[in-house]
Amino acid sequence: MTLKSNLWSCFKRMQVRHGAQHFDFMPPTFVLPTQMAVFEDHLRSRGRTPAGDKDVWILKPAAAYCGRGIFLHRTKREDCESGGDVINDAIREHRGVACRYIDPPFLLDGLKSDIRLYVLVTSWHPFTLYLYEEGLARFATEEYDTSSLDKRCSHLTNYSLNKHSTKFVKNTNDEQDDHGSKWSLTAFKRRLIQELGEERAAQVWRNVDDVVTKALIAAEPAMTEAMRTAVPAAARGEPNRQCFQAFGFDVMLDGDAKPWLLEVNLDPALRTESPLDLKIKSSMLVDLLNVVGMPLPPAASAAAAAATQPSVPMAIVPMQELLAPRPVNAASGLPPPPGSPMDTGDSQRGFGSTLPPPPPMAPAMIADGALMPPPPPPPAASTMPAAAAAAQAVSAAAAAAAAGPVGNESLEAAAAAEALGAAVAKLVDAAFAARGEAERLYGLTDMEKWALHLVNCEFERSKKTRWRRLFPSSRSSEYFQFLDPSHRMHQLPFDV
Amino acid sequence: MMARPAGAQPRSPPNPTLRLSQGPYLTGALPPARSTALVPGDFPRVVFRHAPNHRHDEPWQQRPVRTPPTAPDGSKIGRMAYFNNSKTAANSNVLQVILRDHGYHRVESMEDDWCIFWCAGQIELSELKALKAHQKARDRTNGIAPPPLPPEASYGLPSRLTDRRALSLVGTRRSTSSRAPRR
Repeated sequence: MTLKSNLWSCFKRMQVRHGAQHFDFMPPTFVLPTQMAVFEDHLRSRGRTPAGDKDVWILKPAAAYCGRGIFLHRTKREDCESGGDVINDAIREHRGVACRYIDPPFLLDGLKSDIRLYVLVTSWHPFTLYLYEEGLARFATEEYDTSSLDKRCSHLTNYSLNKHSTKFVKNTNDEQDDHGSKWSLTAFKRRLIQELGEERAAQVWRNVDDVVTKALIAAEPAMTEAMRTAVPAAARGEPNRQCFQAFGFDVMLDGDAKPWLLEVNLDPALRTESPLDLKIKSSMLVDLLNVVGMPLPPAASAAAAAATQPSVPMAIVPMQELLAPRPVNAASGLPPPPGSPMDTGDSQRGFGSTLPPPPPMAPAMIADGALMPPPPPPPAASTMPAAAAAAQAVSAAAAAAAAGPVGNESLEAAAAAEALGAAVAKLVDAAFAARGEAERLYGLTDMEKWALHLVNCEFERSKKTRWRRLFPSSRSSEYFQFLDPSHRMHQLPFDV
Repeated sequence: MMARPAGAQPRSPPNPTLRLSQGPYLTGALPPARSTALVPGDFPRVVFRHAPNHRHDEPWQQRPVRTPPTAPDGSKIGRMAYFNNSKTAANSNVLQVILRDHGYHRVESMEDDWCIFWCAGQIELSELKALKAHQKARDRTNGIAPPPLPPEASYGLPSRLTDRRALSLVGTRRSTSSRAPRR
């Protein structure tokens, strides 16, 4: 998906399958030279229409970056009507994509801009996606003007291109994040509120979330397949915990503040050329490492001992088993009663499994070395009252801590902090108990419990960072329709 | 090697045993990096924090490796190391500074025992298959490339195809042999 043509192919498939009302965040695109004839036909027919001769197309190479090889094209009406050439030699030789230019763009002080968003995918199945709350806004350095398509610094917002412009203004103070040709995303958000009002600006960012989520959902089947090919654990249907992917999404707003996806970078620039760059990129990386979670490496002796131990058989149900048809009683059409010859332990392990009941899970090194976590605590009889009580205790302790010490009474402050810590611990316990209850109700397999546990632990870690999880989230149900239903783990009852 | 910041004195080659107080961009002693298990059942992990006194033009080579964290239960841990195959030093500079601040040494070979692999190219399948429990890879695994769109498939635009036929052309085939070209 980080190749422009592949990104368009993935997007187009989803648009055809689910409708343009859901997938409408990429401008019409032609992959060249494959679609050269269609592109030419299109230019010719569009050029004859009243609006069509104003169409501008932006041509981008297949896999270049930093604005290299990009140029703009506009067809002349007389060529369309006279049957002359509507494409020139540069287009004929082009290898990449031709996208309809987004015109007019959203302008700030007469300048075009785009935003760089940092996106983290920690797992493709279950699909787990985060968006960093901070990013960069990059501005063109010359006023937007479509009368001249040759002014690259008016139409392209690439930093590596504009920094060579005489009008480029470098930001030298990370406290002034709305100064110069590169702003923080936070500053851009502030300005957007000024321009559009709070409600409309909030809708813009909600739409941006949508763009990021749907773009990655479009790539999910291909990525899940690739991970299954490449990673043995993934091939066995186990959740991923060792690979992650950090993307740079380039998004721009049009004149109506509608977000459009320009491209996705798999190796986003982490070069720090200013204090603002450093502040944003280093924070993003620190938070990323905390979300991903870097385990402490075992001592050499422990690692050697583990290597000589026979691998523990997995207490895990393969996905093929999960997806197998559920046995039913031919007469009644209902699942077999517990203990009957047809019973496969569905009620405990999810439907479809024909394996014997798995032994209890314990921390163990499994076949490919992935560390299996201990199972979550058993479900409590009634968890909600416990959670409510713990939450009340947290509130009380937090209020005490917030009141702070009077004079030099540091002991009171310490006691308040301790109470707060204990209350938080109770709350966490209650949350785990509630999760156990959910697992019992949903009848998850051990594999699914494991995935649930990993994703929930990661979510807990992310709460202390500025990585905001887009999926799973409270909006998950909006996206289920676009996900492959055979990938069951997307719909597990994750904490949100 | 990156350009030395203006006004900086020539420095000796990086020394992994360099004390923190000798670090050219660090002032004062810093405590060792920290580890914790945040939630029950989570594995012990390194806690990353924002690097103090870090300058945007500071080359990672000038950043000493900090004392690594200890395990929450006091048990011994292995050597912490990172492997980065980026050809563009500047693009991974800030990452390397952060990792060195948390006790990670740089290793120069994929075969060394690293904890994190920041991959700037496409990762080899054999490398992914050989990952150990404590290893994490920021990988660039490409998806299985979707089959190219048929030349006629320009939906939403004047097309020679109806949507019905277009629908039959896409989404029904998936190539398992062709892979996306490298970037």
